[in-house]
Amino acid sequence: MKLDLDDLVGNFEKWKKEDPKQFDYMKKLLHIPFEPSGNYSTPTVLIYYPYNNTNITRNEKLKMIAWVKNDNPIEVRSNIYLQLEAKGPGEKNFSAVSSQRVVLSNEYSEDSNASMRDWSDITPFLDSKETGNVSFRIWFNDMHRTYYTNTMYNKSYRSGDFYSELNLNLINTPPEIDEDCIKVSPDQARYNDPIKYEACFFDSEGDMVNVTLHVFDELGNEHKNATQIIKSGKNVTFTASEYGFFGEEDAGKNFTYSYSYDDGLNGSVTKTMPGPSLLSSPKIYTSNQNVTAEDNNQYWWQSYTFSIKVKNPEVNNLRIDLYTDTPAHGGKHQVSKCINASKESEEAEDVSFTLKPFEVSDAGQPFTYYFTYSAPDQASRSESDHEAGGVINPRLVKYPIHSGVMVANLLFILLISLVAGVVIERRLYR
Amino acid sequence: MNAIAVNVTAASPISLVDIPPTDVLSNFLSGPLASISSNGFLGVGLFAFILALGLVLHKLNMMRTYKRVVSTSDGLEISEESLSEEMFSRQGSNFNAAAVGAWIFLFVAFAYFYFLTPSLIPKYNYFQVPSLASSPIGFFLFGFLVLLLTGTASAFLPRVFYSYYQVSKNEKMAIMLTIPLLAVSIIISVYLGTICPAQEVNLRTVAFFALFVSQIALLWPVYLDTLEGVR
Repeated sequence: MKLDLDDLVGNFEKWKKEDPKQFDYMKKLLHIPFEPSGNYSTPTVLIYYPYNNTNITRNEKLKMIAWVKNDNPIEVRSNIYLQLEAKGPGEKNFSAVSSQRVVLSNEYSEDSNASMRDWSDITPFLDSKETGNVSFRIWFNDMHRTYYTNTMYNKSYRSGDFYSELNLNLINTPPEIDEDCIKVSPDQARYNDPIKYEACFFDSEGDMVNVTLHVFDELGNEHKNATQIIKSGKNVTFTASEYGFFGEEDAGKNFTYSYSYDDGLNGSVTKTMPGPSLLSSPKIYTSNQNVTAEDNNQYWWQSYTFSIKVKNPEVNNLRIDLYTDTPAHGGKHQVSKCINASKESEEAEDVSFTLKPFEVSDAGQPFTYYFTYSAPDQASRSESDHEAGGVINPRLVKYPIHSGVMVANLLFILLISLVAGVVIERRLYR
Repeated sequence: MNAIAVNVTAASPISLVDIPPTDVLSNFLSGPLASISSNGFLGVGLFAFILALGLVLHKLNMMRTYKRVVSTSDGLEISEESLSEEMFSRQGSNFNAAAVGAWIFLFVAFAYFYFLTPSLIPKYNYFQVPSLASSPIGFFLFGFLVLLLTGTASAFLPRVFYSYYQVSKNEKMAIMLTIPLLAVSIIISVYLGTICPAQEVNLRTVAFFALFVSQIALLWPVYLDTLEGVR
């Protein structure tokens, strides 16, 4: 019976599975330890680092080179397996940082018996949470034994750019925020509007930046927070509605915010900035504010009717105040009125005030008027537009000289003056 | 190019007779008098000056009389008080009543002319007190207030100015005629107040003229005595 290699391998796998004890015994019987010949010498392996840069950052792409010198004749040489290992700041043990490299017995230069293998673009400390000293060494196996370059020699070796153990310094620069691009928009909005918090962070070493937005309520307590990890130089945007920062109960409140940010090692916190002011939810709907005078003359002594349409489905005792504004009397409160909710009616209610709002000193001046209400309107405001009402007629006196009132005024003063003359003469001159 | 011929005639002198009477009145009303009457502070100052001058001249008149009496008394000692008592002469009741009334009219007319409309003294006028100006009887109240404030002066000035001088019948007539003249000034001022901010410059000048002519007429006995004393 012919036994091919596949059958043999298949049998080995079967035996390993079915009778592992006997399989281990067979392995012992078959094991023939490799014994190097008497004139075999251990290859020399060093780290070759021909760069002046001893301060490295976490993101810096490093290139490490293994220099191997094997003076054994080719028939005695064996394959050498190389592994770069590193130890970060505060770490006790080395760990492999890249894949293995192999130097075959025929891969040495003929004149120097040396060969090189490199590990390029490696970032072994990318996730380091500390800064400080870092070390590199090479683990290698020559098919006879395993060696570490930092321990295989009697003492630490360095000659020129060749190191048995390479020590570098891991440094870090904290990220920065560009204060000019911090903003929250819109500054005034409804609670469910897509309010955006935007900011821009930079890290000179290109580290990823952890950005946490802290939103504070009116008492300065943290209301909500959210975190994003962004690339240096990229804008970070937190959309309030996406993160659920605000609810209906927050309408009408003023919030503040700040950012905390770090690159995993160093961080900072911005000052607390104002915004956004959440607008109150509309309770009433107003429109068509209007004013009409008694006639087109618009004298100051005349009555004026001010009106505004108000749709009030839910607010009882809604107070509406009328104000007039002239250069002589700025923001003068005239009158107020309270109305109740009218749920049944779909039509807006016409709220009007008829009064004599002006004084003689307002004559000849332009006036504006506006209403204030005790509940927010459709624009979340509690005050209407300041509407121009035209110019008050400059005439000062209501009564003409020939009117009864003015004749009476004149007669009284003339008569009283004459009577006073007579009375004084009788009292003081006799 | 054609020359343009211009006929030039020698200007002939214009006499007052050549100007129609309406133009004379118009020129009078719109001339310097109109300028003075339009200047509130100047007018108030002028009124106060004429009044103060009357008081000063009265004092000088009394001193001059006293000195003359002393110089002709052959060493007899005469006090100023006793001389004043001797010089005091009572005027008639009707005249006194008219004189006091005229002085009240003078102060009311002065206040109405300068402080009833904002055109002469914009910062201080009747319309700066809205509650007063808004009242239907505001004009009367304003005049009555002036009457109360100047009552003492109106009561005693006629005694000072007319009891130590020989006031002729004509002078008495002139003083009594100031009442209708000042009434005209008051009526015009009230009219100007009712049409405000419109203005009637000519009427204002008439009111001003009536006011100051009356003031001078009321002080005339004092001024006349000074003039006679100077001669």
